[in-house]
Amino acid sequence: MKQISPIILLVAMTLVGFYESNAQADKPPFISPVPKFTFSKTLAEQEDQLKINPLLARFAESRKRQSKDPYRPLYHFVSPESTLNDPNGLCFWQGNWHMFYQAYPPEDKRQHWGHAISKDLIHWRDLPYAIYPSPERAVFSGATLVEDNRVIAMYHGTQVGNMVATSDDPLLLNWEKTTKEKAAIPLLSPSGFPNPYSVFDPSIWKRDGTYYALSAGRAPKGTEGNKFATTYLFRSKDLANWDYMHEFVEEDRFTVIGDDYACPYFWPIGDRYILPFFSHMSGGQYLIGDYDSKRNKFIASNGGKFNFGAASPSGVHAPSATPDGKGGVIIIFNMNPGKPTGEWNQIMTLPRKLTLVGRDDIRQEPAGDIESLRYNKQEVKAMTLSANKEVVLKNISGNAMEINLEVDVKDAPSLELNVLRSDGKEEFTRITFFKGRGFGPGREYHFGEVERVIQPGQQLPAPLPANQQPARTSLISIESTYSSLHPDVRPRAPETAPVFIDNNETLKLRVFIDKSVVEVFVNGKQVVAVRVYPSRDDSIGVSLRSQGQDSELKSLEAWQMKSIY
Amino acid sequence: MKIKTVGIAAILFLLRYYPSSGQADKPPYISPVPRSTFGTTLEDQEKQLKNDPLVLRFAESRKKQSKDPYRPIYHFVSPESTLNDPNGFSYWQGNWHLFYQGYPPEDRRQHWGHAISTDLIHWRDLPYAIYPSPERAVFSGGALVEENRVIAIYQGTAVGNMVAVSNDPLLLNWEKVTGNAVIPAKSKTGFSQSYSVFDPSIWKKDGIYYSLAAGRRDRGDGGHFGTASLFKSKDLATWEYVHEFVEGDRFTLKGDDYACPYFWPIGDRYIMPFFSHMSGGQYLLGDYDKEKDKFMVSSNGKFNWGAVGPGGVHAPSATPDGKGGVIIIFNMNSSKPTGEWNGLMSLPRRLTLVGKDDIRQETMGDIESLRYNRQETGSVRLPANKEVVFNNIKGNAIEISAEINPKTAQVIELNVLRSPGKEEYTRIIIYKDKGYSKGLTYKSGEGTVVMPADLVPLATGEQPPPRVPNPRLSLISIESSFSSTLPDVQLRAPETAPFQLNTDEPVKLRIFIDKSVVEVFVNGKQCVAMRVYPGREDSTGVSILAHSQDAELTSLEAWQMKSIYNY
Repeated sequence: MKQISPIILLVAMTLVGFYESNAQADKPPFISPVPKFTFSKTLAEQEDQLKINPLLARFAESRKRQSKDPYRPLYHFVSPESTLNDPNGLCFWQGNWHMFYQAYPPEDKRQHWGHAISKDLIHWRDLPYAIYPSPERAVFSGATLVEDNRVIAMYHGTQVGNMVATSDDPLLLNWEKTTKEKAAIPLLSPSGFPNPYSVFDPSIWKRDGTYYALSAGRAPKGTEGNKFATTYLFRSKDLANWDYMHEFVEEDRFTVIGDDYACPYFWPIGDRYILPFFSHMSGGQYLIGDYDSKRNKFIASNGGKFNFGAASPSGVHAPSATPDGKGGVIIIFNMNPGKPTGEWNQIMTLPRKLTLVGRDDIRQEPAGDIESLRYNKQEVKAMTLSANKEVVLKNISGNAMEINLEVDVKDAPSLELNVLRSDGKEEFTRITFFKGRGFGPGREYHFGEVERVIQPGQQLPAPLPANQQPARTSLISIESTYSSLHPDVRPRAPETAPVFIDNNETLKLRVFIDKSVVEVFVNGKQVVAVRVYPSRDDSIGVSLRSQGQDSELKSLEAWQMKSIY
Repeated sequence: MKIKTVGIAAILFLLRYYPSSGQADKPPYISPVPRSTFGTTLEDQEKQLKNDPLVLRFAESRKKQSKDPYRPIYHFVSPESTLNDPNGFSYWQGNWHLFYQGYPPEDRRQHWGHAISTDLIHWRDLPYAIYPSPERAVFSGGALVEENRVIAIYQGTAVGNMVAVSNDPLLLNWEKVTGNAVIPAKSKTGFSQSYSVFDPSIWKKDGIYYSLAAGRRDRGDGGHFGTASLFKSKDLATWEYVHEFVEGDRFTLKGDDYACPYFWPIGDRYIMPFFSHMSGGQYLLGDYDKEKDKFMVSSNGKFNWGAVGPGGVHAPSATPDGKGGVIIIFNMNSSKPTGEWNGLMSLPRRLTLVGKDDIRQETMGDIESLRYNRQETGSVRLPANKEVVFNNIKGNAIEISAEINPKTAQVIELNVLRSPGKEEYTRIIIYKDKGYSKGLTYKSGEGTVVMPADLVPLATGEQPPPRVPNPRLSLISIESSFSSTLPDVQLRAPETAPFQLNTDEPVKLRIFIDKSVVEVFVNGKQCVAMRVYPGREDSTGVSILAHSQDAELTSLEAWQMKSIYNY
């Protein structure tokens, strides 16, 4: 390794010398001026090399410098330098979770794949950029497939097409592009005729010895040519040569005009399949369905969202997902910003575990050892929350904390938890639970039979008390209208998600607050998350309020959270 | 006069024969509610109505209920008992006719209630129009106006879809075609039918009548989606099932049904407003393929933005306005028990087609005639994060017309029904440019994708380009979490709808507050509405707040609103 280092330095200096400015880099063959290194094949040698790696030294320096930023999270992943966008190619390889992401090196803001690894999905260790541009102008988003002896990355290389790169070293530091100076799936057809598909964000999987890949798109469909999401299926035996097959998704009744299936992933979940993706209009979401492996089609039977409003600002953006080996899927998202914050702005969510419930529903829970970050536990004893009275919890405060609470909301129409609340309530972020205010099951129809009618009874039935009505979907909402007094914040409209809570079930919230992000997990079933940017130093308080009627607080625990850096 | 006597005799006979409603609720389901037969001239009808026992009883009931603090004074409510869906909205011989699901106190099976108006605002009660038998209850349906008659089609529970016709000046007398269901609920063979028999609508094309029957169908994988079965008839008596009418609906949700469907031309296209028992009032927009007799859907929209209830915009009734638009009215369901009544009707709205796929919604009818006691604020600078309370603008039966220049502020909040101590208030919030963008445009075969302007900085780190004159959608929201401190209000989650606010276009709000309902029209384009029930007498104030940056209230006028009822 002592022999290699000078060589790497030489290479790096050559590159820097050869590409003095990124303006020169930004033309074919689009060589990156960012220092690039070749690593050894053994873990021990790689670790030794990384100890003196100049990029890592620069990352550490950058993290330290930026740590004073009051909006930079402590326990959510942020890129070491510059900013980040979509996570890419989440996977598990030789004892580590690998997360790649759209990175923008300061000396050349074209996308490179950033890279970090973790043992517990919570503590992340920076590694050098994994994939650099050339022949592509920029290394856009994509996915990975882990095989026994290698990891395959497939991504969109702008101006050339979809690229395949492979790596087989212990820390996935060295990547080789399968088709070298051209794309595996070129943007342009060799014949010059337009392709019947668009070439954009790909994903990859393998079945019966054949590789399959998707390419994201949006195309006119239906009677009037409005544009709907679509994705194109390709197959290959060798990763280098790909055949276009057909559009992959059937029976999507769940996305809307204007959505696209960017950043698609396609994995089994339980006994079915999930296609998480990103809509540039409406953010992170998914389809659930069956993989018709004879016709090579995905037959969607339900859809759901990770982001419940517009894609941005402050929303849950693109996913990266990988099977957890136990029938579930680990997924992580970037979250876009709602305020300028210097050289960085975006962050990653906490990783989540998705599992299939019944046929068409997905549970979302935090994945990874988040509990290891907790310290300085505070509790609030069980108490009655009197109707229409805000209770400020004097001993609970912070802006990098977890709050874990259980409430029996009884017949109260809403329960409100305010966090990041200033003493005078100039600023607060409002988390509201609306019991039973989501969709019901709708109306049953019977064909050829007499319709069910209201039974003879001369009085209109009085509405049952809420706790005796058949359970209806509830709603969880984060409102950030009052989160910040700053003039340059871009708040979201309330982010509101459905969650099914049974009548005999209490409300259980796990709220993760981390400087400029609030993530709320509800009963291990649903999550809502937004970026917020309180301006006041005292916006760290917490309060509870039960609307209309009393609720019972069963328990509330809060912890300060350690930094993962 | 003669006729009146006969009518009373008939009533007495009915009352004697059906001493309790319990006995009425079995076949042939005769109603014990008083029923009269009317003359066929307007003059005779008006004379009879002066002494009509039902009309007198309605007036008495309205008077009795007028003290209810939650009963609106300029939205239609039923004279007695409560109401549900509006039905058979139509214009006939100088009057707008509004029918609705009425529940007579002595027999709570649905009868078609009936009111008329010349201005769509002031409504006059008429006796129940359609009574049960042979059907158990007179459920919802539509109406078709012909030159010499009005045809009503509706679901008759326990029997099937019914047709009734009327041709007198005030549509007081209705005759049921065949006297039985014209589309029976049950097949004669005992086999299941391939359609459900439920809420119908009706129209005519090339001398043939067409009718829909609402439904919801299992797609085969457990997912239920809306469906509408098309029938046709030459004579209204004999109907033939054609096929499923709607094609290309990938807009409604799993669980939605197409209840209370209407099908009318709008601009050069067609609209199908309907009601989902899951998600409330909404519509599909598309083209009518008259050769295949199919509705080819290209887009959709909502009148209700969350769950159907509580406090939501419920079922529509719609009719063409003769000028390319559609007049539509909805019932709104309740979110608090309020004695014998609870539902009410929205203000009538006029829908027009803009471009290919957009619908504008504006108030319809002579609402301005109700205004009195005008107050205004003049132009007011709105300093960031500072709530401005208007001392001279107050009321719980008012119209507020406001024009706001949001400038660089992204969130503007207007509070109404606000108590001085802010224990109660209803929030109306504008989120500028916080709705959907146009999404990402893909090109196949050439170059790479084209990023929408607002996503370029995210994807490339480039500085955002200068604003283009086609910004993303904005959002209008009503939030009722703090509308009431009462324990028995089932509040609704925020009701939020998108609308296009162009660059430099001011926000123009028309807010109609009427005791337990708030309706907000924004820029003549969109409408959100909700039921609210303030518990305090002083919850009548109005305030405005610009978040994060300064904005300007260009003007705000408010009027107290007169009652449309003569108690």
